[in-house]
Amino acid sequence: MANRPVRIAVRNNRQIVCPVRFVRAVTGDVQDDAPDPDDRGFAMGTRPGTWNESLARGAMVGITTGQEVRLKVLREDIDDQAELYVTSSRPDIVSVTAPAGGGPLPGDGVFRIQAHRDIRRDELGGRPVAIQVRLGAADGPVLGELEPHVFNQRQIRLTFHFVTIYGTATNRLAATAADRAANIDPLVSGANRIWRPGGIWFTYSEARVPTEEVRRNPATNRTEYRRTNGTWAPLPGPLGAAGQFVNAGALTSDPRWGAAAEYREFDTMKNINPIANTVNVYCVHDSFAWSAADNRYNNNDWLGLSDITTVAEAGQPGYGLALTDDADHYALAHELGHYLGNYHSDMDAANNDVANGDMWICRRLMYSSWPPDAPEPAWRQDVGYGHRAAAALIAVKDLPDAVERQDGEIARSRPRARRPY
Amino acid sequence: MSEPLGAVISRLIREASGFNTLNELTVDVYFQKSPGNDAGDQRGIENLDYRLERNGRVLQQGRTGPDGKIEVPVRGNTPTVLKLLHGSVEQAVYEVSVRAGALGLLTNLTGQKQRLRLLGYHIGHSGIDGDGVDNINAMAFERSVLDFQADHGLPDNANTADNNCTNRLRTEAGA
Repeated sequence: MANRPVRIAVRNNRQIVCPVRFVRAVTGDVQDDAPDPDDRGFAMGTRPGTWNESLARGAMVGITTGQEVRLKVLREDIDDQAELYVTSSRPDIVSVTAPAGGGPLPGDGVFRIQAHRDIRRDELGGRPVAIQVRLGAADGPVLGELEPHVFNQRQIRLTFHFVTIYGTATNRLAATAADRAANIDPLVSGANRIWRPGGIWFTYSEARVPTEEVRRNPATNRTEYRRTNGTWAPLPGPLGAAGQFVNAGALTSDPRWGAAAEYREFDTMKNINPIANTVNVYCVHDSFAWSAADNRYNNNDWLGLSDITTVAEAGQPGYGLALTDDADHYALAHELGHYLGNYHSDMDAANNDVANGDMWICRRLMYSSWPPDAPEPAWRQDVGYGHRAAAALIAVKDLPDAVERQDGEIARSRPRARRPY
Repeated sequence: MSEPLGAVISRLIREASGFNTLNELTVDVYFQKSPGNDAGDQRGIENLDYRLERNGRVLQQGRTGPDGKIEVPVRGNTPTVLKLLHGSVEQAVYEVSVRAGALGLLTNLTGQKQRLRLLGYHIGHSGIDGDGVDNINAMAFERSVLDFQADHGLPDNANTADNNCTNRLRTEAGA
């Protein structure tokens, strides 16, 4: 916040002053009513045709229809005594609910808006709604603008499978259905807090949490899985009847198996008793990967795995995800982001994850977190979610590929969420 | 759209070093909703009521046009106080001074920050002038570089303003 007076040292006889910008209303863990506005640059980026062109230049934020959210005006270059008001260009679509009358804003700069309905492309003369910060009164001059984008909610059903491999079970497995559900609820509710700005909502049935088991048949020494009718059967492909899992309780990957087969254990797991018309989430205890440098398998290699699926792949079996016991709601939301068609935010033109490229990448839900070393400079280790904590920005903007190759997650995910299975 | 309220000009004796010179510059301060040079996209903050004062005397008052521009006279080391008003109520106060001399080199942080600040990007309020211009790399600087790169479609290069970025900074803010 700028103190009074704001000092301007003019160079080259010219100075531009932009008094405000919009930021998240809270810091720390993601909260349901406090989305992270996409303030990456002031240009609005490439937009799907249905979004129409905005006259605003500034941040964008996604909101689910009916939701009320908090946002914050940051006084970058206006002093803390200036009376600021917040208004909507179309209150029937997005209204300002606090402070009453739009202002003056409290000292912390936090205000609330509520989304009432998604708009058709031909409404509003083709212009999206703008939330405007004004000086002195609700009819004062406009100092800055934010574009809220309203999305009708789309639901996606999940099925969690608790997996035991060679006697080692996921820690999420519990004796009672209630306890099993208690192990899942934080994952799903957290993922919903993260994806709500995209209008995407995940559900699961507490009554249907399958337990899967993989064993080695003592008579044949072949690996088998238990079918839903209780009988044992040879492993499905790609491991198949002669295949086996390398490590108890874990999914293992190994580049020595070849590019197409590196994740053959994961690909096999997804074919074990999948439930139709849901996204199947297989919870395993751990993950292993072959390390050429160490000449052995190292554990805790990943928290989650998912296929990156597209609308064209809807209706095809064999897609799902896996989570280890260390995975939290950020990991589930991240893997669901892959399932909804998104690559890592830090993937370069050669499809490699780059090293903690910049603070925007570190703030994105789809950041690979690779390499696992602490990002440098140090400020990239806390981008608003806590020290070295995962972050949750889902990009509303689709910036030019030269700037960010893999953003625009909401626009990419919405069509996939319409046909998710 | 400004309305001059009068300025005092005195004529010095012929031998004076400042004979017939007026040590007063007029600088252009643009209030905008978003940074960067206006590209015909209505960035200017229109209808801002303002008053300019120096040493407690009112120099000028007016209302901004569509470009948000206020012409601010600045004399010597005495800052001009720019007040934004709503009706007659003082809402925000700025202290405008001039830094003479060329902008810093584009190859160093100070020169890059000077240009980002000139264009209205949010680089914070560190430094001796309280305008964020110093030679310290910090989060606000990285964010402003990324903002600038995004706004101009330049490859993002985090806190290191690369050639694409510095060349564009020169184009937009001056050599």
